[in-house]
Amino acid sequence: MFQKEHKQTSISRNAIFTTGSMRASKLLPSLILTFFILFADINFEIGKEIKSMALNLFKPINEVFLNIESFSDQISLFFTSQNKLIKDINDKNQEIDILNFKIMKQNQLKQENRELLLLLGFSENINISKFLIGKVLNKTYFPQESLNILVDTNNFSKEMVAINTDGLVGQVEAVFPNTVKVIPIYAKGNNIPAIIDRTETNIILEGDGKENKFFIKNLKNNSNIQIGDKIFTSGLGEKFPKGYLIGSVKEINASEELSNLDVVVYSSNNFDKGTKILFVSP
Amino acid sequence: MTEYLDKKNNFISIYFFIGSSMVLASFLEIFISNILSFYVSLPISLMVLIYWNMALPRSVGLLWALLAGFTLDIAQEIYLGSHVFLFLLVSFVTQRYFHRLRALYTIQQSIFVAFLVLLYQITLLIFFSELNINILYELFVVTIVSALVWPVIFGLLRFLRIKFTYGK
Repeated sequence: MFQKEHKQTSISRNAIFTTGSMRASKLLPSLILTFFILFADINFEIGKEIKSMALNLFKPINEVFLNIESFSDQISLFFTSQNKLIKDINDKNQEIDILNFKIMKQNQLKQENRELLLLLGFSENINISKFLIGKVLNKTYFPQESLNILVDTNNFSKEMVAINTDGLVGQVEAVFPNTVKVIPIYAKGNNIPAIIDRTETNIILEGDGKENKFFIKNLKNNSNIQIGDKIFTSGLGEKFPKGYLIGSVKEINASEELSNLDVVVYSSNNFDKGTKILFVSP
Repeated sequence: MTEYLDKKNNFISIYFFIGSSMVLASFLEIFISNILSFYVSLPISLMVLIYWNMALPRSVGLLWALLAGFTLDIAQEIYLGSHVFLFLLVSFVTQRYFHRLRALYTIQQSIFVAFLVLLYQITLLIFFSELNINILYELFVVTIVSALVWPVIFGLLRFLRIKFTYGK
């Protein structure tokens, strides 16, 4: 009896001893590890793959409730007169979904064909010797605005320029094994030999680096130029093929102190429009 | 007379039992949050974790807080470690003061659990979601429901633990 009481006392003493044995020092390693994982996930998305794998693994469990609900609906409907009607509606809905998908694919094809037709129209220019069609893969902004285009680089030359459904939009910056990098013609410091359509004056356009904006370089104060004048490529220097519209004059700032006019030209061609690019050689 | 003190002391069984209840609680929480599609879910895992930290602080440690936390992070598709961090803190507080918590009446324990649930949900909302009037309403409801559910979880797990540990 005394032995039993002694055992009970001993257990109670142990219980008191274990009470509050948790210390902050025990928690600290786990907290540091957790912070490290949290920081890594926020900054480097390390958990993305783990989450995706785990979600796929537990997908059947997640869907158990939905399946049970669907099964119970089917059981309850099986004994009603509406069963066939609901089945027919479900079948028709499925058919509608398939047809909608087909319509969407056809619209996509139609749009692609329209784009290709427009691009082939640009290729009929007599001033070009060779052309190729490429597919836009992606657009990047660093270190500068550019498009990556998938194209047959075996027949490609670096002198080619890029045209989309709006018109002349870019020039080739680099050629890779299967892709090329295209920068916009308005890239900062880019010079384009051009001609003012109304007066047939040869000029040099310089890209401003801002979207669709150019300056005319060294245009004398007494030059014949008006707002709205259209500017085309002149083909001089064989850098760009002749006859492609670049833009129109939007601002003319004259100053008596300066011998040259400050002329701003804006292009209406969107650099990133469409999914196809026509490359042409002058 | 003191046979009830001579427990089976089956180490693997206790760990298996704690693990099973934590896994079940996590799945139940995920299911309920999927069904109700609330911003705020009923933290069943947290309450089960509190129970085990109170009942068997030596057996639970911090491992189950880590495992349960990661499970919920993955299920709710939020940053890894978010739930873990909160679970660790709750485990720490509960294990630090488990002797006092055990001595409380059930209603007092419910209030304590509701307070922890409220802090836990507010932290999750502030850092990983957004706070608006609808969420505050849900938060209030979930806190009350948690306080009401606690005696059920406590009673059920206690009954199972005693049955499992002492075979009674």
